[in-house]
Amino acid sequence: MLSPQTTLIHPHTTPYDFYHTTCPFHCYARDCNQVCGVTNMMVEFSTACRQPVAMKKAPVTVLRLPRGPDPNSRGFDPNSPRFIALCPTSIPSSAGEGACIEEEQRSRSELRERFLRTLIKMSNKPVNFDMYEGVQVRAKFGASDIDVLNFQVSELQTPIGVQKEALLRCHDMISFSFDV
Amino acid sequence: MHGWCERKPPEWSTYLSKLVKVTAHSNQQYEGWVFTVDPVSASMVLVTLPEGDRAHVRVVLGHAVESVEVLQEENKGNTLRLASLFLAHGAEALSPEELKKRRQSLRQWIEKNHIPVKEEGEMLRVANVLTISSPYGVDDCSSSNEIILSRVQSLVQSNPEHKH
Repeated sequence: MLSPQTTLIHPHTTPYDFYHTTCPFHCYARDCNQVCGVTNMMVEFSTACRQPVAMKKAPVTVLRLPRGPDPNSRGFDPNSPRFIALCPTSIPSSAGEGACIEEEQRSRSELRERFLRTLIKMSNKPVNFDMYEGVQVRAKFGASDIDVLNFQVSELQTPIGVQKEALLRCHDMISFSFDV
Repeated sequence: MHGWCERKPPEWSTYLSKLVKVTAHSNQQYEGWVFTVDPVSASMVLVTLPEGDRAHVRVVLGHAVESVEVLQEENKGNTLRLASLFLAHGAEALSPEELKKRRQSLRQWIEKNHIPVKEEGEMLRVANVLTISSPYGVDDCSSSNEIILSRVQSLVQSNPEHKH
């Protein structure tokens, strides 16, 4: 970060001008006013200078970061091996005649609703998780994703200490239990 | 039993409310009454009812299920108890008149907020995308659109005549 005292005082400015500088990226003189494109603050340029000091010398090089995730997707690349392994694109269903599909859909929605009610009942309760290799941990259940791939938990009591917030992979669990 | 995860919902439904013994990975065995089987992850929700009001719930993840054995068929008392544990609490305590009153009051509240609503038997259908079933509380709204769902839920919650 540039220190205004050392680099931004233009030869045309007086100490009085400097202390009234609003935008730290520009030198200051009382001749004309402009709005800085960077900080949106009012800056004044001296007639002799006519351009901000910061423009003359770039203070830092600009780092271009890679593009972030697509804001409309659910955060998974459907072609990634993880997605293919964990999220089957179609839920298995019998391709039969209309009545059969309807019956299947009805029982699917009933089963799913009951499961979601179970998860609602479980939220903010201490839950015991039995993982593979005989690992048992206890945590306060927070939320699950729709594919039941990850659970968000708080105060996870692990053998090496308590983790304030954590995500548990459901594929690492055998079962979990809680009291109603 | 291979392919527990590949089974279809009607097959899972046959286990509902029955007492089963589930053998999971590394021969761990769990017993309990089946409350549901999640159609997405094939996870089984088993409930045991020790003495008293408490209930112990164990969920066995679908990928770990190795075999399921039915020990006892369903009985009416337990089925009702399972349902009352998880499903909307207080539903059984309300008489049909009280339910009707709640339905009417909620319907008027939604209409007052200029949202189309119509009654379909016991159910309220809001703008053809959301249904509210009895006892017409915040948790009884269901919709496939989560944005509409949360808006309507906050509307239901702000109903001045509803006291939970």
